[in-house]
Amino acid sequence: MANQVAGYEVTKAVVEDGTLPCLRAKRPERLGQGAPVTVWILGPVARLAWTAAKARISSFAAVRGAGLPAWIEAGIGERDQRPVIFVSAEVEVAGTLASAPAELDVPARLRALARAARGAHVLHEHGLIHAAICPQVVALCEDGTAVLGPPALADGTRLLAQVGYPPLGYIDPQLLRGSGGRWSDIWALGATAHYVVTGMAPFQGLDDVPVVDALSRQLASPPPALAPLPAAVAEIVGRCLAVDPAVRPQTAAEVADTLEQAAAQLTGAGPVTAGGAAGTEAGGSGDAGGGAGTASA
Amino acid sequence: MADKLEVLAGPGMVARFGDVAVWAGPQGTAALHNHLVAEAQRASQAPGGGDQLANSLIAILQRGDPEPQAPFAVVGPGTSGLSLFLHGPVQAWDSGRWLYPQPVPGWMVVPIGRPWPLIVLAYGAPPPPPSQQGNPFDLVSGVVPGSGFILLQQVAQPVPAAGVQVAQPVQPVQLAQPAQPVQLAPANPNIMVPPAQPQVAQPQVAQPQVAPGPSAAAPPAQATSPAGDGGAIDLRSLPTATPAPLRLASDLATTFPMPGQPDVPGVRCEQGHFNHPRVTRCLRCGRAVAPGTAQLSGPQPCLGALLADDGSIWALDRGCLIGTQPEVAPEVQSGMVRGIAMRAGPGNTMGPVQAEVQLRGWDARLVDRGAEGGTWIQPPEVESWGQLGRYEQRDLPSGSHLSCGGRVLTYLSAWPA
Repeated sequence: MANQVAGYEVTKAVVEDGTLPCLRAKRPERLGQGAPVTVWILGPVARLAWTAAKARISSFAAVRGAGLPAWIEAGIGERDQRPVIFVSAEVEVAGTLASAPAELDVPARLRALARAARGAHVLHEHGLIHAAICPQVVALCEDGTAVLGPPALADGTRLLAQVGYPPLGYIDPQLLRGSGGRWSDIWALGATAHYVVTGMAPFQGLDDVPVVDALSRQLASPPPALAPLPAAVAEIVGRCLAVDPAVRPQTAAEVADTLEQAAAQLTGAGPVTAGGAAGTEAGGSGDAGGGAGTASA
Repeated sequence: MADKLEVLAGPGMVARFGDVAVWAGPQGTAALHNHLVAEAQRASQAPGGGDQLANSLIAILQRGDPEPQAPFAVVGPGTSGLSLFLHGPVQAWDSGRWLYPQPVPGWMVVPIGRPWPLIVLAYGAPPPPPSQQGNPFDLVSGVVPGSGFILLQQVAQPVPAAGVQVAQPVQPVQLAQPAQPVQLAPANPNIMVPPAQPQVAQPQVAQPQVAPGPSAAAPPAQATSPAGDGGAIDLRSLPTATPAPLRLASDLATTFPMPGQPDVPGVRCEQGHFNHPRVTRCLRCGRAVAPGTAQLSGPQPCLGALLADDGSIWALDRGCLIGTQPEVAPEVQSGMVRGIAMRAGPGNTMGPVQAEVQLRGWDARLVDRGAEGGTWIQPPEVESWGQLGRYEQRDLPSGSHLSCGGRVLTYLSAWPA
């Protein structure tokens, strides 16, 4: 049936895009009674065999902690007449940072991202790279909290990445050169923070050129084109996007702390909304170190 | 040589004279085969025939390799056991490791003691099935067709007296009697085979890129959880994992690049990060690298990435083999190169090991591995595809597309042209 995925009856398409479709659904009978759940579509099976995906997802699901959803199951379903890999979780997702309602102000978005950063930190402490942090994967929950959605099926080491999820502009060039680590997720948190505050990715135009050209550009660690950023977040964004992993914040927990501080500073500091920042300071166009004057720190 | 030499059926040539054995692949010319046979005959007369033959071959190759794509192997007595010479796309199992010239093709010579079995066959060919006790095939002397050979310890057997017909039941030769004190080596070396599975490291391969039907889906982890079109895994009851935390970036000093990489010429930034000679800023830390910075040798960093037609992105931090089963190749098993497993596109065929991308300093090179269907290349700004000859190598400039088995990958360098 068109409105089902592996027995999950889809009640709402929270996000239906090419990056990470997110669906609200009634749980299938095999899971017993309970509240509605969220189902993410990780991509067509053809992109990565189920065997590898199963191992990857299982390792993630075994990690529990703040900022991470309670996973239910993963498997192969059919969506738009194609076999896809899905993963479901005990959470009611209302949107993502890529599709946040206009009334959700920047401080609230930063707090949501901070929550996702805490989830990333838990994963890092369990030896795992998420490798897909981007606005689309930060899920905003009905209860006002947020969680970090499912990881990329590519593990960032053997298979570096899959074009599509996450978008190329959210993949650390160090990871693209085979040197991924927790610093790669931290880089992606910085890129996502930039989007949260400005409404723009720090690497513009990648979607307008052939993927070969976009990947070639990112492999060379180009300096980000940072939009003007509020002072409260300029430094953390610049540090996260630094070329040198050693200059970046050392842990995602540190990023989370800083984002929460920034949210607190911005709360009541004036009309700060995504896509336009009041009381900003120039983040500049960035330099080799990722802008905000951190290159040679 | 008292050793038993079993010839593997297939194309190529196997020769044996005394203690010297030769294998040559069908890619070699008749002139090469004749030369090897003549040299083996001559070397078999000398006490250190293996070393002597290897030295004569090296003397030729140092003047220029007339047939770099022709695989051949020579084994014979050396100063310490056997001396093994390998040339071109050939591999040998010395009962402990796979040996093959690096880069492939190339050549190497190595003393190997007295391994049993010693297996010689074409590079990338699957290991032969175990040799069975009682297998009568044994090349004693001469030249025969063959795709390789297995050198085995000759099991000591009672030698019938002259004129005795072994098959005659009236003779008390006791060939088949198990009580006979046959000098079997421990673990019966005659049935040793190279490992079919990786010994050193798990192959780092992608999974097949085809959409599995329902039957291809993994079975459910819990039988009570059949999830619609495919098996599902219940994630609610997984045991909590406690692996080691990821390293901090501040601990990275020794992790860029991978340890054990070959040295290449380059420059270092003020932080000591090793880069391509023509960079203007360090790819590791972003700091400027002044023009004219003195070049030195350093471990080869990742060259760039391979982008596959299914969107997969693979790092070129080492060479890679592309095929349906690259994990069968010894260099993948050893972890020296990465395996990229792909299935053929519709209407095409893909061999277990179809093509190879080698790292040559700061450049990449495409190598055909001799499988049906071949390997194709389309360099940047070239309109058409060109097919490589069997085992041919070609430079792979950044932006080149390569194709095998109907699949396409694009090589992108991270470094200046």
